[in-house]
Amino acid sequence: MEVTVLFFASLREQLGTSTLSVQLSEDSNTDDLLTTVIEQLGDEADAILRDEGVKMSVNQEVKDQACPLQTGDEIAFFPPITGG
Amino acid sequence: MIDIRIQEEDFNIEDEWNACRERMSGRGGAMVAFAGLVRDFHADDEVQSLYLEHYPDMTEKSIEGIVNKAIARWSLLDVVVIHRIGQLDAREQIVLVLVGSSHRPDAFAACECIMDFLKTKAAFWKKEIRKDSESWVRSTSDDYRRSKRWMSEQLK
Repeated sequence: MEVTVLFFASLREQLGTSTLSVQLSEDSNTDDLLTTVIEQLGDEADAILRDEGVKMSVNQEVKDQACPLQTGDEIAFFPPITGG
Repeated sequence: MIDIRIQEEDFNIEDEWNACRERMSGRGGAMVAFAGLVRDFHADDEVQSLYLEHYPDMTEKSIEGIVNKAIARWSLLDVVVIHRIGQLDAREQIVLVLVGSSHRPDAFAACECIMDFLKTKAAFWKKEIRKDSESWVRSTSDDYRRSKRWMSEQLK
C-alpha cells in the first residue's frame, strides 16, 4: 500500500523535505511506517523523528500510540504546537 | 454562528466586533475579544518578525473542535476565530478570538478557554526571525498547564 507522509516546521527543515510517498506492506502500522521513513531518509532522520517531543497525526487526527494504516492515509510528523 | 478563518491578511477588530454584534441582534448581552500581537522582544533578543506555518485542513478542524467544545460547555451565541499565517512583522496582529453570549461569565470563560487551547491544540508553528538568526518557538509548560486547567475544571 502507499501512504503520504508530511513534515512540518522544524522537522521539515531538519529533514529537508515536506512530503514523501511511502510504500508499505499490507497490515503495516505507524511504527512500521516510521522505520521505513527513516530507512528512506537516512540515519540522521532517526534521532529527529524519534525525539520524544515529536507528534504524529493520521488523517489529521493526533495519535499518541501506534495504529494500523490503510492505503491512501496521510500521516504527519511535527513538533509541539506553538499557535496563538 | 461559528466563523473560523485562517488567512495571511490582517483583520479589523472593529469590523468583526460590529458584525458579531449585528448577528446576535437583541439576544446578545456580552462580548469578549482577545487579540494576540507580535512582540518585538523575546528571550533578551530583538525579534523582527514571525513566520507562522500551519497544517492546512487539520488546523481548521482542530479549531472547530476547540470551538465546539466551548459551545457545548457554555451558552454562546457567536464565536469568531481568525488566525493569521505567513510572515508577520513585530507589532502586527496574529490572532483574534471574539465571543458573544447572553451573559458575561460565559463570554469571558469561553474566550479564555478557546485561546488557551489554540496555543496547544491548533496546528500552528511559529518561527522567530531576528537580524542574524531565526529559531522555532518552543511550546511552554505554562501553555500546557493553562490548557489542562480547563480539562480538570470540566470534571468538577
